[in-house]
This record gives sequence, structure tokens and C-alpha cells, in this order.
Amino acid sequence: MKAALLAACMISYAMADSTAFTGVDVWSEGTALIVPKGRIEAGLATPWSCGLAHAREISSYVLFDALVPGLRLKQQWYAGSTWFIASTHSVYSLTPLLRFLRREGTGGIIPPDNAVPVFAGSDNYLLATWKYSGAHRATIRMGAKLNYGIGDNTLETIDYFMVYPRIASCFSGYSFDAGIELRGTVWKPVFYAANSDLFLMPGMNGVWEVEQSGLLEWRFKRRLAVSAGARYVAGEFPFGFDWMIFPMVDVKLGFGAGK
Amino acid sequence: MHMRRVPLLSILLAIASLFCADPFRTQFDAVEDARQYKARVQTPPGATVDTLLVMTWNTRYGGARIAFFYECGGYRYSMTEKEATANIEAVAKKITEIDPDILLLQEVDICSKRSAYIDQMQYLLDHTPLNYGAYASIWKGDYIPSDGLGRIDMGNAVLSKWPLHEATRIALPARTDQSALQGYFFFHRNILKCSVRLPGDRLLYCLTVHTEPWASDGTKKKHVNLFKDELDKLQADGDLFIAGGDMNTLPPGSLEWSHFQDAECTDGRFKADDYAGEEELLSPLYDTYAAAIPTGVYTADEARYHTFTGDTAFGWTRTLDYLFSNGAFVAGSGHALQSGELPDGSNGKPTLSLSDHAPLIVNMKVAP
Repeated sequence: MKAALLAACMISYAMADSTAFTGVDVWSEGTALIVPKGRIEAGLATPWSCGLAHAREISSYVLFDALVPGLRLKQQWYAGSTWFIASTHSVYSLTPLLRFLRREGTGGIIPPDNAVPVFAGSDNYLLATWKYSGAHRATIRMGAKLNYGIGDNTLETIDYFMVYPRIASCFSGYSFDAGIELRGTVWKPVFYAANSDLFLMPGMNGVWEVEQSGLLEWRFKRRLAVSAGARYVAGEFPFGFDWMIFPMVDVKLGFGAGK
Repeated sequence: MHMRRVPLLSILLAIASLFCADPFRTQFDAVEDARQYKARVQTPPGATVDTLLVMTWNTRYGGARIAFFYECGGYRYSMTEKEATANIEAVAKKITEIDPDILLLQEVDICSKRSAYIDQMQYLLDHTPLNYGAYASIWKGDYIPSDGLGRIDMGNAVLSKWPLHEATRIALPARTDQSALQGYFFFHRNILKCSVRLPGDRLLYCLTVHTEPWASDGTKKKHVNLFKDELDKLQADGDLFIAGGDMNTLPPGSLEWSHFQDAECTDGRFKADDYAGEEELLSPLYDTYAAAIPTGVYTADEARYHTFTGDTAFGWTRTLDYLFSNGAFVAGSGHALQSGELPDGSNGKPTLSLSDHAPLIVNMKVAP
């Protein structure tokens, strides 16, 4: 998967025209902006993204591709002076991950007697980013997760924060989520990001979860970004309401200046 | 837990612990308030009381006789909602038949995936004549990463017809023969100590415990001794108490201490059925306080007072459950309810299918 990502980047770079594109930016994961063409950004907790030609970006959780094979394409549809609109479309399968987690004894997240079908999943989101006050921008996102399983299915839900809503579509076939994110400069090279996300899981025993996070990111030029913060998660699970605060850390590397 | 996977999980846990001391919320303070409950609809208890019917029962989290994965021949990991509801309903019906005034319970689930997240404390209060309850977790975690157990909250409980004055969870020492990771996610045993306000404004202390059965480091002995220490403190203060639970050991004078027929299989996850060396473990309790089943009564007809079996094919095979008091019991009122017999001599639902433990009852004198 990593090789495919790199190959796609190189082909795109070779085919690209030389026109500078305004709707790009480094460290733009989660926005309607695109990673500059030819640049690769790799994070521990965020997808590895590569800017392509024609306002496109391809990304994958390379470190987890053995367990969640998949690819995501981001297509920017509109790039104005302050507004940017894009959509993301991903295809993936949770089957290897779920089967890996299904085991007896220590490490068994899923009971070993659960039958895990072959899942085909697709996430599709619409993103709109508004640049305001120069160094700040806001992004709204909304979309749906779709999943279809083939084969015997006695899979039980994983009733834990952040995991439950992200695999809910394996049980109900679909789920919705939407969010808003604010990003900007505190003082260079320190940036902030604040998110609020709502997950809706119709047909499940727990039908909603809210995740709110705030983090600071230190950007060391265009090569390295280190972020740390916290995420508040609250929701309704099969056992009822619960909440928790989690630490967040990530280290991201950027390769290539991009155009 | 399989040891070969421990290093990887240890590393992950260590990273998480850098940021959060208790990321899965499995830990407890040395002493903390127990969780208190109240029936949604109260059943008025008697205005006066001379004797109390006291009962202790390990209800096995409403698992009835389902063979779970950790047992011999077991293959089940969790109950369906239908099973979990039917089982706890049967337990509630049995409790209602017996109609105890004070009920000590062990292995009560209040929010566990394996029992369909039914709050068994609230269920029992809402479906029996008992009105008030206190609960202290023994095994709790947002997610137990073993065998797909998921969320667990199981513990000791005291239920009463009369209001509870206070309820305290007193932590017992953990096993020392486990890794830190195993210890973090494993049982955190405790003494649940409550005081019940009886008619006439008299206080009765009620204590229950479920001692460690599997440790090889003497933890069970520590638990028994600390339990007696708590009773001794009440005795020294002149407070009346009833205390008991699942002590996971046999009464002094028992004929057999190992090689029980129901424990001869080898494919179970735990081995807890060899009590050799524990012949005098409970003697200090018997020597100091009144027992629901006095030693002489027990040794005269052991089988009549057995309260546990791991395999129904062999019937009840040994006694693990106890009630003690510094007050007085009505002579001959102590019974292990091994079949359907009720305190009034009538017959009710058999207990062998409800749990791996039988209820133990006794009448306690509390007249001023």
C-alpha cells in the first residue's frame, strides 16, 4: 500500500502541469485544502497523504494497511480566495483488523467465537473550509460511513469510546457524522486546532457520540510537526451514557516541498 | 491470560499510563464510599423486628449454569440479553420466595457486557421485597482486553428491607503472583461494610466478602484475616454485625480438602479447588463468633450444608459460603438451600440451576 501511494505520487508529479494552485497547504488533513502536489505527509495517528495533480490528494493509514487496507481520495471542487470545497471518498475493509482483534486470552478485544464476515466499507464526506483573519480557518465536514458484510456474521460491538461509532456501520450498514474544526496560528511556529464531531448511528443501541478536541501543534518548517492535546468523548453506548478525556499526540513528517 | 502477548500489551499500557494513571478505570481507593441503590417502588418492611432472616448467595452474575470459557468444557463468552434477563429474573424470584430481610450477595454484575449490561442491583431491588442496596465493585474496567470480555463491573452487594445508614468499600490486598498488567485488569477484591438502620433506630452492621480463590501467594489468607480484623473492630466498639459471603475455603473439620469430583477436569482456565493447607484458615472466625452452621452441626452431616458445585452432575460438593455474627442466631435455623426448600418448609424453585452456589440462610436475633 505504501508503495502504491508513493507510485501514485511520482506519476502525478511527472504528469502535473506547472501552474501553481492556490487551494493547497501543508498539514491540511481534515480540511478542504489539498497537500501540495508531490508532497507526502506522514503521521503516526493521521493518514499518510500525497498531493496529486488536478486538485487531488490520495491518502492511506499506511502503518495500519495490513489491518485496515484502504485508500482515500480527496478531490477539491472549488478554490476561491476564502472558500474551499472538497470531498473525500475512501474504500477499505475492516475485516483483517476485526479478525486480528478476535482472539482467546490476553489481547482478545472481540470474543473468539464471533464470526466476522468480509466487510467492504466506504466513507464519503463533503468538506468546506473558510479562511478567515489571514492565519485562521474553519472547516465543516459531513458525510456517511457505509459497510456491507458478506458471510456469517455474529460479530459483537466493541463498546468503547471512539471505536464504537467508527465500526457502527458494520452492524447497521451505515452511520453519519459531521464536524467543525478551527485551525490557526497562535504564534509561529505554534498552531492550534479545535474540533467538535458528532456521530450518529441509527439502529444501534447507542445512537450518538460527541468528540471534542483541542491541540497545539509545533511545526518545524515543512518537515516536521508535533502535536499534543486532549479529546473529550461523550456518548450513548449499549450500556448507557459515559464520557472520558483522552490524551492526543501525533508526530507528522513532510517529504518534498510540493508545488 | 496468555503470557506471550503480555509484553506487547505492557508496552501499550505503559505508553497510555504516561498520560493517564488509570486509562481503563479499573482502580479503587483504599477506602471509599460504596454505591448505594434504592428500589423504584418501596415495599414497606415490618415496623418491629425481633429476628431477621439473613441470607448470603453468590449469584454468579446471573450466569446460572451456562458453561463459560474459563470453566471445564466451557465455550460461552457472554449471555444473550434474553438469557441474562431470564437468569436474573429467576434469581429474583428465588429471593422473593425466600424473602430475606438482609441479603449479602457476591458476583453481582451492574454493567457488564457478558450479562447484557443489566444493572442486577437495580433489577433485584425492583423485583424483590428488598428496598435498599449497596454495591462495591470487585472487577471493573471500561474494557477488559481479554477474550472479548469488554466492559465489566462485578462486585459484592448488601440488600436490605430497611435503609442503609452508611456503606463503605474497603479494599483488600491484590495478588502478588501476577504481572502488573494482569493485576491492573484483574479483580480488586474488597470488604463491603454497611450499616442498616433497623426499626427502633438500632444499627446493624452488614459485611460481605468474596476472598481470592486462585492466588498462590497466600492472598486468600490475608483476605480472611483482614475480614476478621474488621469484625473485631466492630466487636470492640460494641456494634452488632452480621457478616459473611463466599470465603472460597472449607469449614474446619471438613472430611475432604482436595480432589473434588466436580473439579477433576483439566481444561478449565483456573485451578481453585485444592484447599489443602487451609484446614485452620477459618478457625479464628469460628472460635470468636457465632456461625450460621456451627462446626459441630456441619461435621455431623457435611453434605447437608454444601453450597457449591462446579458441575451439576455431582450435586453440591463442598461448603464455601458462611455467615457469622457477634449476636445470636436462632438455634437450628441455618440452612443451605440446596434444593427448592424454603424457610417455612414449603417447596420453591430448585437452586441448583440458578448459580454454582446455593443460598445460605439463618435467623438472627435482634430484639433490643
